[in-house]
Amino acid sequence: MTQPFRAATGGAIDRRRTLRFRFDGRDLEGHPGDTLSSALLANGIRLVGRSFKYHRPRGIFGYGAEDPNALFQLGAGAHAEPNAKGGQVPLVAGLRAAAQNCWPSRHFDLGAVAGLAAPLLPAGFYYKTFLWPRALWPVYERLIRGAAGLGRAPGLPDADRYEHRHAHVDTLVIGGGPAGLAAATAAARPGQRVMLVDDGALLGTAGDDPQAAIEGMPAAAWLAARRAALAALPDVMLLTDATAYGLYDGPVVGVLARAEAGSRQQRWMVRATRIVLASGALERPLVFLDNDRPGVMLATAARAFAERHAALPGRRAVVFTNNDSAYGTALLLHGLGVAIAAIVDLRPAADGPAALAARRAGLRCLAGHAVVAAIGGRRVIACDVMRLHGDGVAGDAERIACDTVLTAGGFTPMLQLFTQAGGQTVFDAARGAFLGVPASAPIRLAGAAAGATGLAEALATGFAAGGDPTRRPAVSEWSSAPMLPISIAPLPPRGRGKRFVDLHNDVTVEDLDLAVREGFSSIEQVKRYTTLGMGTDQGRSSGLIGALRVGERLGRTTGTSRFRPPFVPVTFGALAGRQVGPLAAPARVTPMHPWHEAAGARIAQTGSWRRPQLYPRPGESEQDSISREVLNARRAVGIVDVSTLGKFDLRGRDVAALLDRVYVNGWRTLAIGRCRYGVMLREDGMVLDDGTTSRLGERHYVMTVTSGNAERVQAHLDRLLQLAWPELDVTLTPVTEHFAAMAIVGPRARALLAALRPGFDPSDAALPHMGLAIGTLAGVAARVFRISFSGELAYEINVPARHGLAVWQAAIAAGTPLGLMPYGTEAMLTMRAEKGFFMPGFEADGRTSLDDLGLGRMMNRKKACIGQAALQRPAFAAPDRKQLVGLLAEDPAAAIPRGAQLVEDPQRPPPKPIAGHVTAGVYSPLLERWIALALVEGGRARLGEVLHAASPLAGEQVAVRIVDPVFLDPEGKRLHA
Amino acid sequence: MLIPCPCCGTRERGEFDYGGDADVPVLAAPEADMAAEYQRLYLRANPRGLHREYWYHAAGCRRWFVLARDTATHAVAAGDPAA
Repeated sequence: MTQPFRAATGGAIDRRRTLRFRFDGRDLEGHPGDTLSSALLANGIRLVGRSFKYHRPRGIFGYGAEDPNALFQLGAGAHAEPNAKGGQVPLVAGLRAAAQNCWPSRHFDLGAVAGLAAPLLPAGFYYKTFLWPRALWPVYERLIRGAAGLGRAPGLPDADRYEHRHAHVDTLVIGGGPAGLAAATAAARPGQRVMLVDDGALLGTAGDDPQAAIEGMPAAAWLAARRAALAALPDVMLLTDATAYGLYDGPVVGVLARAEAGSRQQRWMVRATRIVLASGALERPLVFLDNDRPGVMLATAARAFAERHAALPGRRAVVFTNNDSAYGTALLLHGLGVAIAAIVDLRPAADGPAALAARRAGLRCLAGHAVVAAIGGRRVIACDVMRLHGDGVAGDAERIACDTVLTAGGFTPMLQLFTQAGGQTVFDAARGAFLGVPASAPIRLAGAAAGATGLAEALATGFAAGGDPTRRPAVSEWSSAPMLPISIAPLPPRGRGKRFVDLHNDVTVEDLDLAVREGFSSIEQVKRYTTLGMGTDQGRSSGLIGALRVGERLGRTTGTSRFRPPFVPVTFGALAGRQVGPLAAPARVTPMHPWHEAAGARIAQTGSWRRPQLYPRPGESEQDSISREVLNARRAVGIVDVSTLGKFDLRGRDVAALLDRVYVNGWRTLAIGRCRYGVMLREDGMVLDDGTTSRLGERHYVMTVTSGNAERVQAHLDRLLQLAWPELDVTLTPVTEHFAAMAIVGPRARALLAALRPGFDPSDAALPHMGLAIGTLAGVAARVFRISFSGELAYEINVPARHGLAVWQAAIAAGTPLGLMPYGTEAMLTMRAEKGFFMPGFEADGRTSLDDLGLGRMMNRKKACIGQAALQRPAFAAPDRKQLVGLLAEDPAAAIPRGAQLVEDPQRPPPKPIAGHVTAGVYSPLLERWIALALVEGGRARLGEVLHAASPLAGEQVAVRIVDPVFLDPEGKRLHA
Repeated sequence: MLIPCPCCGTRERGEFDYGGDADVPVLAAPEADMAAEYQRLYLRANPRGLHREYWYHAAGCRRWFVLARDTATHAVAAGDPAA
């Protein structure tokens, strides 16, 4: 047996099995049922890490998430986890843990020189010391970053798997103590779904009095019976090792669970009609000199380690308390063989039943006394106890030898989720803590979270919160005498050392007092100045003591700083769940996608679609490929997959009326068999989208919209059809995925069309520019639109999606003798820039009007359209509106950086006035130079002016001349070829 | 947050798009002057409490409807088909 601090009996551990684990290179043993913290205690490990600021030695202080000290680095490589709380890590065979924030080791830590320099590190030290000289800030920043943080983040992608789970229940109970079990029992009526979550492994442990009985049974047995009864019910789910970490709108409660096999963590999103918060109360520490020495521990933590894991905190303990609860703990430890050197009680007298029981057991009880200092370095070896006198101490200190000091400073209800839900709290002077105001949030409180003391009250509030206010089980237990709400022991004469309020961030009583003297007057300010209550423990044990101290110094109550979710740290992995890598978002692909992949296309994500960017050939640079694809389309024939374009099928008597009302231009004259280009505006007058709409029949049209705008335009049209013009007879059906679409583009496009066995006349006379044909093509039903986004003779072919790949392959086969090459989105964007065609998202960026794009003449003022009314705003007529122009680099070989800002005088020191910005910069292989589209203030009146395109991030700057945005074929001869 | 769609029943909020104050006219009034149109477009109330607002079941039936929501608690009444 190598676990010297393991009690011989008791605890929910399996002594028959031994688990080996490693801490800081040392092989240790524990048992199933242990946590990392309990196993370390059982092995007699007292020093587990160093503190954040002063690098002082620290030991295990709390039992679970509240522990400010016991933070570990777990695992290695891709499985590394920093800042794991020892009390929340179930012990498993082979676990590897290391102390944090110490170098080279936790026993000998060079950072501890910070402790020697402590007088130089007061509250707000960063703000005061690193303020000047400003030129040295980069040096300071490096130093601060080196010292900041606790554990080390893993350097590799997370190799673990995380799951998301959803639950819809009638009642969610948070906390599995007596009150939580009672609430779940009351709520678990037939047909009611109940979920009970608890962040520990055990449900239904609590109570100070070892002799307590409920309905005539020992309390533990009664609670175990409730637990077993709940577990047997089909509609009740008991989730252990699961922390409710946040309450969100809905309400939805986020729960982080660690219990399920096959994944490291599971994030539950629980929707509940009724939420019961039975999260209990956390014990506050008591503050005295050097109260951070390893061996100083919360009394309830020591009790939980002993009761649940048979792990003992030490051999000889002093118990320091301001209430009755610690006496039961002292008796329990006494029974397990821990010598109780003294019970030191701040109250002038302690004569409640618990204190009497302790005296009867022969324990030394010192009422009206205080522990004023812990003695020892890397562990406690004694403490000094003095008699209280008025607000101070009197007489001589008695030094009591001990290896453990347990503190019991009263209980703080855990109301984090309650206040996250908007619940109000009010200070209760008798308990020295804030209590929730019932019904101020849609959460019911039960048990110690509701301020209950003792089992009877816990059970009664639990049953009531679960829906059964009549059930009040008979309980026999110690009654408790009032506590004394003092948390900070008086300073002894000539006392030296530090009195820590916040062990996690090394915030002392003196730091708080200093902050108040320096004029910080709200708890939120003091928190940010001193770091009180920050970090992974979020001030669970320290926040209230700090707030009360600040209030005392200010002479008024301050409240505590606001609780925000999450209650415990949640890994990004758990938030992402399985939605990582290829599953991050659904990938939309066109019917021709397999061909693109086989052809070696470079695929890029554009919005929700995966599209070919270019089709590189061996030895080509990216620009080589784009230029080849562009030149081939301009000189021979190219083919591009445009299936991603949004397509809406419009049928009904009033389609033309709808089009008139949503597009700026008129549609009454569009004949059957013709296409028309249109631009639609948002309600605020800015350009929303553009595209062609074609008339297939008397009452049948098809509209195309920009790929990335399909959902937006659909919502826009649905809104208008349903809310504004329900009288219009129009049926809108989104058919984007129903059709595969490809454009054949270039001087030989008609020859290619003819080679595809069209069941219609492909001649220019029969199928002119902006005409359409319906018939067969390559043996399948097709719609062929003669429209162009490149400025070339072009046909857009739509076929049913299932035939898309076959028709594409037929076109490739028929086109190869004509010099056909596929092209991707990069070549497409180059050709549209050469023609000066705007695109939503680039030039139409939500701040651009029709006139800004040079299309003001399209507006048909004989009818009203959406957005027209807003155009009366004077801002639309301002002379300095940014207008669409072209840019030519003065040096033809100079690349114009995308996104560059345009400035008039590059020599002028910043801030330089910005005249506009580049929306698209491309190399035009036909013009053999770089061109760009840009939005420039008053740009159309500035043709010929030279500006400078500056991209400070890329360190580039190019002189550019403002020109007309149409670089190629302004007369449109190519289109009509 | 769950939203009751008048067509499909209660669904997760992620399926819906928000469409603004339902008591503001969907369209500009005919012959609206600029001040009135500016008011309609930009000057929206932001009440704490009950708010009648448009929602769109984008990932479902495509129905636009009016929902009465308490902006402080997110409590919602049943969705009404907008007329």
